[in-house]
Amino acid sequence: MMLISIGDRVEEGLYRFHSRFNRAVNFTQGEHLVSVVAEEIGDGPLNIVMRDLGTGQTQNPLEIFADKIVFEDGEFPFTNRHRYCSTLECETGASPRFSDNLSLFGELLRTMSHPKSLAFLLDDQRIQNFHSGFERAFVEQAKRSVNQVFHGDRLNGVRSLSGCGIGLTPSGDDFIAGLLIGLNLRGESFRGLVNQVFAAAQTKNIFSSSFLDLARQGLLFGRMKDLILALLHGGQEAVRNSAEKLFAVGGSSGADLGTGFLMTMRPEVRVS
Amino acid sequence: MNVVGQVRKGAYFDSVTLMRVGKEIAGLPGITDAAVVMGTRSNKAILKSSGLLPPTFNDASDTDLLVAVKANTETAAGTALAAVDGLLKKRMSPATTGGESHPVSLGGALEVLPGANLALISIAGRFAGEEAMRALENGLHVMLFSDNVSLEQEIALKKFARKRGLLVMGPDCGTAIINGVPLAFANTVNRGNIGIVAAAGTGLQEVSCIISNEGAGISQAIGTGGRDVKKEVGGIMFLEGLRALAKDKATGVILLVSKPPHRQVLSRIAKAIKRIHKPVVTIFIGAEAKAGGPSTLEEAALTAVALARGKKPEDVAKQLVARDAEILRIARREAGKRTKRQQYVRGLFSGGTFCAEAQILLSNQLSNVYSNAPAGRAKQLKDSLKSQKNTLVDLGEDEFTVGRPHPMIDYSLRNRRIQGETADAETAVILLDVVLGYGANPDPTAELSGVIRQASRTVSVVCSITGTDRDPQNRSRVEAALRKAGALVMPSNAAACKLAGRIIQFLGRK
Repeated sequence: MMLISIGDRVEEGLYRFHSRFNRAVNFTQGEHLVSVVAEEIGDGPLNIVMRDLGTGQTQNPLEIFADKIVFEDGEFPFTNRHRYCSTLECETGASPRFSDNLSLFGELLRTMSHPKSLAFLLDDQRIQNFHSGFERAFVEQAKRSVNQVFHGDRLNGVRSLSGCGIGLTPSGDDFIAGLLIGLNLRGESFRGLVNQVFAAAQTKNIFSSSFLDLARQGLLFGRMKDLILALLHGGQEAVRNSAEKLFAVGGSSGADLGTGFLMTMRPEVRVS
Repeated sequence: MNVVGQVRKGAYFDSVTLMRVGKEIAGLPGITDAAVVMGTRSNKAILKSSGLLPPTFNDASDTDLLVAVKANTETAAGTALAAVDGLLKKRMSPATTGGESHPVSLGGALEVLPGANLALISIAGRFAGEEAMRALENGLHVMLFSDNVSLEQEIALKKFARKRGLLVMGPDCGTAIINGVPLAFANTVNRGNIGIVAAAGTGLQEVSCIISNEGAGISQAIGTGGRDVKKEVGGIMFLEGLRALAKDKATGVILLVSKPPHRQVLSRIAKAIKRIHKPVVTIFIGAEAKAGGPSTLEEAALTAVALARGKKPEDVAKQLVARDAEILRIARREAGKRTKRQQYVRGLFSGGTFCAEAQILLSNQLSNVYSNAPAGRAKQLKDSLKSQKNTLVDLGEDEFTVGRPHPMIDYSLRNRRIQGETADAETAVILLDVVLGYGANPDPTAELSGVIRQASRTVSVVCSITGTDRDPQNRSRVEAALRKAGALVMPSNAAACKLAGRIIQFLGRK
């Protein structure tokens, strides 16, 4: 194994084993979550990316020092060069490409994202991908909640969307994370709303809560940061490539996040 | 209904696993609905509204995993819950798993299935060409289901593929059967020694099904997309497909299907055929058939079967003459049931090739044939929504499909049109194609029986069915149900057209 990168919000300490997925091993220290992930998952504020992450079965703790980590009985040194920077300073209004690229991203969500993602909120025809009784009821609830978020009692909409849907981080939580990232990107005037939305979306699911907290702070994992940079400065090919990578996150998580982000970036969304 | 559930306290699985397990449980015998979700307040509300909330879930929290199952019987429910452990432990193993994954890029797909040698591309046309080129660069054959790929891009893709010894089937290629695997809109047919190259999607489906229903089989069925045989593309893939089948040891007879190719392309095809030492049967719908050659898709398929069995093509003619006598008998009987005012046929097709074939055949039998997509001697309809005299409508044309599924999938538009044509006092025959197989409407009987039952009280409803008994819809079952509803079901589009034409001819003599 080889350490490739370490997120800028990973702090020193001893972390307890929490859970193991196909391409990630998760550790916690209180409410703080850190994940050791395979390269396909990529950079994140709380990710440690390892090349050749195996499918070991140990549940040993993870130790993080100022210049190395101890993981599965191996020591992996790192320097500042390995630190992934999850922040992004930018202004969408200054980019002449942003609006066109955002439209393209919407089209990609409609045509290329996971069939069970929330992209049906952008295209009614995609509702036909939801077959079971649970899925149909989920579609109705998500539509109602998102409609409230953008056209009604916003915080009530967030509360009913929170924890809604399939996946370890339910689709609704991913959408809210996209909403928070979008609001952060839209500028300082949305800051109060960011905190209100975050408070309304509180959950005990440590994965969702960690994800939402990062989004609240405007901290981005690599694939989302790449997408935003492509939307701001890239051509169609860059947008397409970064969107594909985002859509590959989780089952439908990347696309759910992208849908929340896209809908928030529409100019008609206001602070009040 | 039995609704049972399992709360797995503090159990964490990644989203892909949860989605896969949910789908696998829902597919177990006797299970009518299932969900595998985190136990959040919102999810419990959704479970409740979908009738999937057993009382044991009330105390579950955000960090618990809920497995809910609705089953026909208690035993089925118990079996499903017992299977959960095993399903959760089963890891996705690239290239060997039977589980479903959803890679969203070609690179991701190749990671899941590194041994793949063909990419089926079905994305928005403006992106499809580029994706096809990536696939070719990765050494993959391409089936390009997407349409709206530019002509320039099509030519570039096909030239590039030819240099690398790869096939590009499409753009707008709806059907292929490669190494026994039906791709896109295709049927489950027998494997055998007849190879097909087709620039006509439903044409390929029709001939492959007839061959299979006759007990023979298909080695490979290569689609090229209709534009391949136009002058600009020059038949690049039609010729490559022909060469591939000529070399293929499993192919004993080659069948070529297309609307009439451009004359330069036709001449290239003719030259290529001369170099092949295997029997080659051609059907270019609407082109002058060579003397003694087949003039319908059905005749072409039966000729290929005869040759594959070492019989003479002339035997096919005898077989069809006997069938035509039966058609005459039915036509006379049907004409006797119609009133004097009823004098026209109204053909409502989901397959473009069938509509073209119908125009050619009916123009030989009747005058005043109109269509929205005229072929042969048929004239252009003034308004595609309004029939004139003998009208044959291709409902798969863009004018009908923008913003709605293809009529092979969604019957609603055609059903409304059947009702409209039935109400027209001049309609004597409604002619339909019913296409089965993968991608097509999963339950045509349920969708069509009602309208056919009603229509057949006042008009003759003549249907052909393209499919096999091994298709998901089961041809025999569909045929029995449509007959019961009152349809006259014929074994091929050509036979259905002949019957429809004969009925109208008899009515003209009244």
